[in-house]
This record gives sequence, C-alpha cells and structure tokens, in this order.
Amino acid sequence: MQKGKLLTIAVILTLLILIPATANELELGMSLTPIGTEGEDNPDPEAEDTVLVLPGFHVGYRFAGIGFISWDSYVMPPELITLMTSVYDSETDQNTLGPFRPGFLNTWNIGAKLIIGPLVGYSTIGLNNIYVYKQAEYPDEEFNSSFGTNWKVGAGWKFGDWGINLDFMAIFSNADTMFSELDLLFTGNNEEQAAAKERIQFIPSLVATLYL
Amino acid sequence: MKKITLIIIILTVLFIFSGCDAMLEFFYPEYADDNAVNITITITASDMGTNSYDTDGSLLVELYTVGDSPVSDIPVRSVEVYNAFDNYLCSLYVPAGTYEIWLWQDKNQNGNIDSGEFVLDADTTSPPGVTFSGTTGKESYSANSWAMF
Repeated sequence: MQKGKLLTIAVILTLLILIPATANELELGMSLTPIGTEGEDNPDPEAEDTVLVLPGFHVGYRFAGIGFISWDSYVMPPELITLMTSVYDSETDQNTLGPFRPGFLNTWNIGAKLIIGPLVGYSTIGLNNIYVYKQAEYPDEEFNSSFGTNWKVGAGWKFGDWGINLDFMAIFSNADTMFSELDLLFTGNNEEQAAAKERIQFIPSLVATLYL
Repeated sequence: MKKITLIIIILTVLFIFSGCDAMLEFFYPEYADDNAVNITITITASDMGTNSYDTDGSLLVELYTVGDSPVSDIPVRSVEVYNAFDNYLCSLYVPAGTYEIWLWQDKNQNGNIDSGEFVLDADTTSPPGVTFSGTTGKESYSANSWAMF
C-alpha cells in the first residue's frame, strides 16, 4: 500500500477517535454573501462589476460526530431572480426572463463536518431551489424553480456556543456536471485540475452560527 | 446569552415560522403593498436584430410614475431585456397605480427604436389597480425614446 494512503487512513482514524460519536448538534445562523452581478451566465455583455451583499439564513444538524445536513437560504434581489429563472429557447432564439421579484436561493446539502476543539471544517453537496416572492401566483410553466446543484467547502472557528465560518459554494447546472468537475478537480492530471479550477466559480459566504 | 446569539435565534425563528413572503417583504418593503400586481409586458421585435440601431436585441424597460421624467427621476421599476428578438415577455411586480412605460435601446437610455420595426403590447387589462394612459405605439417625450402613452 502506498505511503500516502496509509497516512490518509491514519489521519481519518485519528479524527474518528477524537470526535465523540454522539456529538449531535443543531445549528442556526445568518450569513452574508457577496455576489457579483457580472458572470458567465449574465447575458448582458456590458454588465458592470457591481457586488451585492446578500443576507442569508442557515440551519444545520450535525449527527454521529461527522455527518452533517444543512439548509441555507439566500435572499436574492429581483435583478438576480429574473436572470436565474430565465429560460432560453435555442430553437426560436428567444430568451424569456423570469419574474422580476425578490426571492430565495435555497440549498439543501448533506456531507461531513468536523469540529475538533475550536476548529471547524466541512464539505457538503446538495440541491438548489429558487423560491420567488408569492410564487403561488406565478404559473409553474413560466419558470423553472430548480437551480442545479452545489458543492460547499468551509472552515471556521468555534467560540463556545457560537462560531464564525467562511464557506465557499460552487453552483453547477446539474449533478452530472458537478460530479464530473469534482472528479477532474481531485483525480485529474495537472492540466485537467487547472481547467476545472477555472470553470468552478466559488461564491464566498461569512456565516455566524449558533450551536445548540 | 450574548446579544448576537439572541438576535440570530430570533431572526432565524422568524424566518422559519413567519413564512418566506413575509421575510422577503422585510428585505424588500416595496413588495409588501397588498395591492401589488404582476404586469406582463409582451414585446414583439420581429426585426430588431437587423436594424441599424441595435444588433443584440437588448432593451431597457422602465416604469415611471405619470409626470416623472426619465431624465431626472428614478423609475418605479427598471428591467433590462436581453436578446429580445421576438415575443419577449418581461414581468414586473408593481404596486397599484398609474404608470408610464419607457423603452430604451440600451441601459444608458440611448437609442431610438424604430416604430416600423418594433411593436409594444402591454397587458393593461388583467392587473387590477394598475392603469396605463394613452395608446400603445405612440412616440413621445423625445426623439430618443419610444414610449407607450
């Protein structure tokens, strides 16, 4: 067996010994997420580099010492919701923007979270969903509320019953794309890893978390 | 318990139990108007991609309070339209009232949209409480605008 693999197994075993298996913990938090209005998906060729800071909410649950599920909800302005819910028809070359209303980008994730002493580290994957203000009034066929998948990695510091985390979220159009990009990122050769890093855009969030 | 933790608990509980719409109205109070309605504007631009003014079919749609000036006043709603080559739909959520719709070739309020190549049709009947004055397709205000009055 390679030396690297032995070292990895040793680290994992050490962590499992250090983490109490019964450490179940509920988390509540609020976040701030700076997001640029110009990106690859922005259809406006003259889009200016403006940054919006989106408030958000966080609910998480850590179970069995290392398992972690979370729900994060980001408050999105109408300008972003209308772009995120737009539908492009390639046959007619017609782009239909979504409703010009505020909304939430919800992320439902599952993964692993380690808390060793004051240090916090986590990595999760999950599904995204968009809720539009008074969505029940809006016909379902006019926009698609599903918004791909995401991968989050983060780290932070725990101060007793609360903490600060900095996490980075990458959004993918679907699960297949996410897994293939992550596969290239972690197991590809140097060129594939570099290309994957360029394609994956991370959105940072600062999360203040209360541990209950 | 520290103040910050108490604030986080209160706001999170409010968020979960008060409903998403109430929380969105907290952040965007202009949407809290009970009379707010959704307006769907249908823009037909069958030849926009080939005229001399515009090559990408982008538009700026602005709603103003009647009497306000696009030059000096802030629009009630403003939305950019991309690739509006044909039958473009844009939805605006506005409080009840009377508005004037202005269309511009780009977001800097430049450009004249040729009336022969561009037809604006707004749904002025279905949204209760919202009215538009005038007749669709009449150019007004200045040579650099195309408005619906």
